[in-house]
Amino acid sequence: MAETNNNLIQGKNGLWEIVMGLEVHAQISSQSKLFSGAAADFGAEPNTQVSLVDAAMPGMLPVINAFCIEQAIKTGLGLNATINLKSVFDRKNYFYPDLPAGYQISQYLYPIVGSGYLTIDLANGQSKKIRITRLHLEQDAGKSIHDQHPHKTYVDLNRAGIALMEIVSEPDLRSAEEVAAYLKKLRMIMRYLKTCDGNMEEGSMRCDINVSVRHPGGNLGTRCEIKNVNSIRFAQQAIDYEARRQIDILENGGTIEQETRLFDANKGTTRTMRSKEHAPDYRYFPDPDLLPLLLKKEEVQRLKDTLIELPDAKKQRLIDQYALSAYDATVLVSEPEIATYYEKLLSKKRDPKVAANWLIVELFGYLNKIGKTIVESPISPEQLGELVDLIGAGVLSGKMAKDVFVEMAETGQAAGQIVSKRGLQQVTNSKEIERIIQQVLQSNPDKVAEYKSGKDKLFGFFVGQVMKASDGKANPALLNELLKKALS
Amino acid sequence: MSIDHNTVKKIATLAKIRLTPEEVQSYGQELQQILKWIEQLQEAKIPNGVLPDPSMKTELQRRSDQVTDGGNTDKVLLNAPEKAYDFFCVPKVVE
Repeated sequence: MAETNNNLIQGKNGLWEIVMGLEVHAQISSQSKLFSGAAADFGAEPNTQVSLVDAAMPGMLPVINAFCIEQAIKTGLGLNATINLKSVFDRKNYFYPDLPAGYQISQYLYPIVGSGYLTIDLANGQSKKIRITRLHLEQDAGKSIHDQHPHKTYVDLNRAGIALMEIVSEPDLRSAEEVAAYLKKLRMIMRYLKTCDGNMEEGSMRCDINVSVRHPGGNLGTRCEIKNVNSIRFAQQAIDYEARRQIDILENGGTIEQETRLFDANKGTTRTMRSKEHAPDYRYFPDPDLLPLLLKKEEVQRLKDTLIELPDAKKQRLIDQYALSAYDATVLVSEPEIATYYEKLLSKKRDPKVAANWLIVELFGYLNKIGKTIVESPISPEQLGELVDLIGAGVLSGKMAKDVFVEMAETGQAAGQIVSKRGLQQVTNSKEIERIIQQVLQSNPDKVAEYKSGKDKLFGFFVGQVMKASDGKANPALLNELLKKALS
Repeated sequence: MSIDHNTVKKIATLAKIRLTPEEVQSYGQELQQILKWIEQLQEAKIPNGVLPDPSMKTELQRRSDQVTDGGNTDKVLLNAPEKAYDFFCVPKVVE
């Protein structure tokens, strides 16, 4: 069955479709490593977080970290996937200086998590299900540093042995946009579950992209695997380049060789890393140091029971419960901390739409300007809530509230405090506003005459004058109404 | 199963080891002997393929997520043929 794809690429002789699957390596947020008690945090001095297990000293034995098992299960549940009650650790053999044992402990035939899916949201408002093939646990390798010495590579084993989840998707992705949406959703789910911090800059989430091209509806083409893609923006660049490269080869009568390619972030291109003939033969076999990992149904159920509300469900609830737009709901669930902030804002009865606007437009705008995240916000949900209440009660107009907001952010003072200190109480007394209107009209008789002879545009001038005379405190709606009456 | 010279060369390539023709010959013979020994082991009759060891555990032991190790930089680097600034130091592996 042909699926509709709006992302086809026009070639010389017809349309092309990009077909992609992703392998994402996500570092589990744990204190210690997968099979050793060495610390797993980022940025320590070289080789200070290495146990003799990680250094592959003879006779050292791996012992699995129970927390890492739970994180893999939770992530699997978050991806709507089957949890395999029996899984097996294998040795994946290859030679590289940052892999001291000469093998990586991974899972091959029997991964801990089987097939699942996640739903991506696209810019056109549609969503699409992307199937997940599997998720398995494995060790990370050490870090090779190639640019510190002309002839040497430096190796730091701090990362060696840290727990990774490798999450493999089916070839369901059809455009760079879909890949970006997939990575964002996967990262969001893991951040909600707190299983991986998803920090691509620090390398705690990395991805390899399998790219092939075909004419729509045709057989799958030969794929190339792109490695070393460490940001969402780079993923998009790498895909654009690689798809174009493959199409050019095919349109000029060539064939695609299955190979592993490296993304070069400086040039925005991909280049051959190794061809199929040089593909390593990993000689997987079950690790004789580790018995099969057996899970009990109750153990999985217990984790299922503790699962928090995930972004898709939360988004739908915000739409249903608070009548928010899909756009607002999407922004509010984009980070778990933002969703928490919003729900705290609504822990007292407030207009959900007004609260969402103040959070999304004003607070985000301000945080953006000062380069901070919601967690570092100088204004707490309680403080912003007070401001929203003052608007709701008619004490502050929207414009006055914006001034108060800036002062709150800069001084940390409460909205009520600022209002009483600056005498900012909005004027909602009709008599008072009428008095100011009369003053303004009396001192501008010529403008009044012009207005009455049909120059409607002057209405804005009168609004401005009255607002000015009231020090910006006149309630705008009331002012409009009374001014219209006075000028009629 | 027999090990021919091409297999030896392939294994050497995977292991990033350069072998002389004489070494291909001698390692081929050694590997052949190892395989022969494995084949001999496989002739042993073991019921259900499982060793009858009652003390054998059947469940993977788990540990709690605590930092109990590390700070062994000197020990970790002790066998390094070359080191610099607490890094292992190896011939450059990329151009």
